[in-house]
Amino acid sequence: MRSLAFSYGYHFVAVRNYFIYYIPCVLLLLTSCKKDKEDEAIEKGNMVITLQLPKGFLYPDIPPDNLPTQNRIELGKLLFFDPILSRDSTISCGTCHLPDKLFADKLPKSIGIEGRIGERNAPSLLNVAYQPSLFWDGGNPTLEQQVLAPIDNHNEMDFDVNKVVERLKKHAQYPLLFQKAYNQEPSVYALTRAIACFERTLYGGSSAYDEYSDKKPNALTPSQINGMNLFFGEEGECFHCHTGFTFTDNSFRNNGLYQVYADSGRARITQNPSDIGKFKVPSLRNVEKTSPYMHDGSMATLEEVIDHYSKGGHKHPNKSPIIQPLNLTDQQKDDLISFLKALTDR
Amino acid sequence: MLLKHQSFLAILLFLFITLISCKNTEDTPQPAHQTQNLSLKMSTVIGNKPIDFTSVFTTEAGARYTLSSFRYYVSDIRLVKQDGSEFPITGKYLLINPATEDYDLGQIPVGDYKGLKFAVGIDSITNHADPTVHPATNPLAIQSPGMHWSWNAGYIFLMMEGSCDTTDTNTDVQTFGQFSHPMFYHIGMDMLYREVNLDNISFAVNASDKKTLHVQANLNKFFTGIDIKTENASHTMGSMPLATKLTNNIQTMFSVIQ
Ligand code: HEC
Ligand code: HEC
Repeated sequence: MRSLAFSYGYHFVAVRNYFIYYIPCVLLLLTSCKKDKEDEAIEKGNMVITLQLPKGFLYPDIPPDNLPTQNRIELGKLLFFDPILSRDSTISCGTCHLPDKLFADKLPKSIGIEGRIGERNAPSLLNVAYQPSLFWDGGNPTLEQQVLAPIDNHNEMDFDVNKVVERLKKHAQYPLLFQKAYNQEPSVYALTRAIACFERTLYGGSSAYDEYSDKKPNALTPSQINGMNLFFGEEGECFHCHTGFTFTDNSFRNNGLYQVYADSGRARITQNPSDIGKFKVPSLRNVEKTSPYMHDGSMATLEEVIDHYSKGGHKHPNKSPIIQPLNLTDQQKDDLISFLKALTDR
Repeated sequence: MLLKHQSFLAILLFLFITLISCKNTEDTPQPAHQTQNLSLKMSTVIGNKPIDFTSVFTTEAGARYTLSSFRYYVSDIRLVKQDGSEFPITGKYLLINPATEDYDLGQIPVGDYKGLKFAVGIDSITNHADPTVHPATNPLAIQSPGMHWSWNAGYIFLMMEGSCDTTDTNTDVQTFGQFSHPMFYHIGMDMLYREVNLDNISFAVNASDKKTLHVQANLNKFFTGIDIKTENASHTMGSMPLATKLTNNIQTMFSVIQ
C-alpha cells in the first residue's frame, strides 16, 4: 500500500536528481527553484502559522522547538483521536476529552482501558495552552510531557510510549506524516510534540460574557449582570481565584470541599502537609457544560457548587481564608448561576 | 584555602592537558601517559549469591522474596585522588541494570586514587527536565519499562520489583515463580537524591592498562530494618517514611571489590 501510494513522489525526486547531474549550472538553479507540487504542499504545511485566538486572549507561550505548522497540527489531531496509543487499541485521548463535550467527558471520574475508573475528573482541554502546569495537582510541567502520562497510566491507556512509537513506525501513513511535520521518523519526541501542538489550537472564548466585554451591554441579562457583580465583587469574592480571561489564576487552593481529603492534591507533589487538599483553580469557561464538578466530580450541579460557597465549605487547616460563608439569598444564587452560564461559548 | 587553591590548579592542569591532547590528536598520537580509560563494573549480590530473577531469596530478617526487576540511576561520579582532590566525570548518567555489568566512564587522569563518590539518582535540574528530548539510546530517555513518573514529572531513581511471602510461617506457595503478594519499590524525588561515598579504598590507574573498578551492591543491606511482610510497596509519594528508610539503606549497600 504504502510504496504504491508514494511511488510518484520518489519518481519525481529521481527525475530531478537526474537533471541536477546533466544540465548546466544556470538551468540547474532554475529547476531547483521550480519545485514539484508535492514539495510545495509540504513547504506550505511547514510554514509557521499564527494561532487563531478568541478576541482579547493573549498569545500563549509556545516552546520554540514546537511552533505550530499545519502539518504538525494535523498529525497531532490524528494522534489525539487514534486508539493506537493504548495497549489494546481501544482508548484514545478523545475517549475522555470529547470534542462535543468541550474536550471533557461528563463523567465524575474518567473510564479508561478495560472499564477501569480513574482517580479524578477530566478537565476540559479548551484554553489548556495557558496552563503553566498540568493536572489538578500541577504535577506535570508542559503539554509535551503531559502526553506521556495517560499513555502509561494503568487506568487510562496502560501502555508504553516506546511501544507506541514502534507501532507508529510500522503504520502505513504515520511515518510520512512524521517526516513532513518533524523531519524524523516516529519518535517519543515528535509524538509528544505533535499532540501538544494540536492541543494549542483548542480555545473557548465566544460567550455572552465575551460579547458584553466587547462593549455589547445587551449581551447579558440583568440577572447575569447581578451575578457578575457578585462574582467580581467583595461580596462573592470568586474573582480572587477565578480571574483573568481564563477565569483561573492557576494557583493551588483548598476551597473547603472536605474535612478529610481522600486525594491529597498538591501535597502529593510537594509532600508538604500544608498543601493537603489544594487543587489547581479550574477555569470556569463553559462550566455550565462540563459537569460534574471539582477534582473528583463530586458535585453534579452548579446549584450544589454555589450552595457549597454560600455555606463556606468544610473546616480544614489549609482552607483558603477567602472561603467564608457568603449566606447568599436564593436570588443571589440564581444570579451567580446565570452569570456562570454566560461563560458558555455560543 | 589551600584545598581550593589545589583544586583550582588541578582544573587548570586538566584543562591544559585536554587542550594539549586535543591539539595532539591532529599531528602526533595522543601521549599515552596522561589519561587512561576507566570502566565501572557494577555487580549485584544478595549476601554471597549473584542476583537473578528466578531464585527465592531470604532477607536477613528471614522473609522470602523473588525479584523481577532491579534498576537504578548512578550519576555525578567523582574519583578522589590521593591528595583529596576530585576528578568529576561530568554528564554521565548510568542506568544500572544487572543484565549489563560494565559501564564506560571514558578517560581519566593516570594516578593514585583513594575514593569513589557517586549519587544514586538524578540531580534536580536534570530530574525535572523534559525526558522526551533524549535519543532512545540515552539512559535519560523514556525507558521500557519506565523509569520516569509523568504524573509527578521526574525520574525513578531506583526501581525494584518482585514478590514476597507475607505469611508469618513463610509457607506461601509460588505460582509462575512469584509469591502471591507483589513487592515493589519505586524510589525517587529530589529529597531522596543521595550521595554514596566509598572511601578507605585505594587504586591506581596506570598508563599501560585499561582500568576496571568493581563496585558491588548487596541487597541484604537494602532490606536492613525493613519488614517486607508489611513494608513491601512504595511509590515514594504517599509512603515517604518507607522510601526514606530504603534510600538511607541504598547509601550503605555499595562496596568496592579490590
Ligand atoms: C481515561 C481517560 C483519559 C484519557 C484516555 C486521557 N485523559 Fe487527559 N485527563 C484525564 C483526567 C481524569 C485528567 C485529570 C487528571 C489529573 O488531574 O490528575 C486529565 C488531564 C489532562 C490534561 C491536563 C489538563 C489540565 O487542565 O490540567 C491534559 C492536557 C490531558 N489530559 C490531555 C490528554 C491527552 C493528550 C491524552 C492522550 C494522550 C489524554 N489526555 C488521555 C482523562 C483522560
Ligand atoms: C480561594 C480560591 C477560590 C475562590 C475564592 C473560589 N473558588 Fe471556585 N474553585 C476553587 C478551587 C481550588 C476549585 C477546585 C476545588 C477542588 O476540586 O477540590 C474550585 C472549583 C469551582 C467550580 C467547579 C469547576 C469545575 O470545573 O469543576 C466552580 C463552578 C467554582 N469553583 C465557582 C466558584 C464561584 C462561583 C466562586 C465565588 C462564589 C468561587 N468559585 C470562589 C477555588 C476558589
